[in-house]
Amino acid sequence: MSLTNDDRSLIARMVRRDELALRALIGRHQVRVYRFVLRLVRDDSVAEDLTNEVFMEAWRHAGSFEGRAEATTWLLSIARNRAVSWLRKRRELGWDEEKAQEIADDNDDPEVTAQKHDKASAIKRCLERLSAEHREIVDLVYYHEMSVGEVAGIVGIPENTVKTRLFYARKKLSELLAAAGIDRGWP
Amino acid sequence: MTDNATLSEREEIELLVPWYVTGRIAPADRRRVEDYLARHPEFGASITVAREEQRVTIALNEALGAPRSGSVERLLARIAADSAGADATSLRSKADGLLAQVREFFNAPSAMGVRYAAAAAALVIVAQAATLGVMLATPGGGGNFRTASSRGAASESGPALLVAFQPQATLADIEALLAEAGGRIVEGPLPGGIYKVRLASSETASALATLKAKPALVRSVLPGR
Repeated sequence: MSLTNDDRSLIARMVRRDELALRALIGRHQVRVYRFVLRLVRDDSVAEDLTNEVFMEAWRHAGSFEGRAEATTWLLSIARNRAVSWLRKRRELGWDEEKAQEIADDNDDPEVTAQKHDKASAIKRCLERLSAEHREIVDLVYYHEMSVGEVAGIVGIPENTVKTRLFYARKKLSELLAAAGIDRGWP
Repeated sequence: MTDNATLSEREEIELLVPWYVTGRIAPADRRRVEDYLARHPEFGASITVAREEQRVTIALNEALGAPRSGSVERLLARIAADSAGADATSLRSKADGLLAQVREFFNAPSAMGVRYAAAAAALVIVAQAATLGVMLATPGGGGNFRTASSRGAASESGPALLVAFQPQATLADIEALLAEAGGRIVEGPLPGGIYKVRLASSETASALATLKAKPALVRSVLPGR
């Protein structure tokens, strides 16, 4: 479907209950939303359900889209709220994501161990080990190519905090790499 | 400039580097980074580190794949059910509101002209109640929203086409083209940006020719099931 169509006009048509407009919006943003959620919740079936909930909410509340932000920013904000709420519920059940990650790290198979010697694989692996808060900001900036202001809008933090949070995420990444024997000379 | 001042400036520039490499940076901040780079060429190493992070982050995300096919249809089915429920509630609420108004009217003295208006309102209630009854009696019926695959204008048993539209095709273009071809989207987007189009008639060859004649709007089209 058209990538040149204006998202705002699609959402305006969704307010009038236009199914084709909803399908077009899904076609344009579903994969992005799914990947953003999946990186936070780390479960593909949960990510799929939450992604559907995002578009369900967009459909129900299309009229509240003010058009000041980009549709992508609006959808990712909804996605983040859904993912954070799901993570919170899981934590209430006693699941500790960071601990689970540590356990997984202690059980590297030979293939994973070999991959650690490759720098790109090591960075990828260390990116996976960042906290959800740090993964989120790294993804929003590098993959979703959001500006400082857009990240601030999605995450709900001041712009200066966006900058410092990403700095500390990158610093943590360097520390994890150093622990894996890779000194990238930064910061 | 003292060492501390230099350090502080470097820290400020460091904070901007990720947005410098993605290009989503304010022009003034971009100039600050470039100016600093010109004065401190060794800072290029920091940019290289950020570019590497960006490359790996993109690769990591791209490797995540996409939702399974069918998830869109599940979503649309949920929306249809949700919308049907909301509409039934909305109509019930409107009917209740009008009934209350009519009760109030007949309990209060008023001019004859207003009584006629109330009688008209009562007729509206009867019509709405009838609609409500039909909606509640029809499984899956009602609601503003219809899934593409719900019973509608196009025959469910008619032939189908699989169509991929050009990125520059607008919604209006697509709707006009589908109207011309006598089809409607009943499923999609499927992996690869493909949509299933159900034809109202069995004129598959004619519809195929209509769609193929518009290469500016249609990337590819194949007979479907």
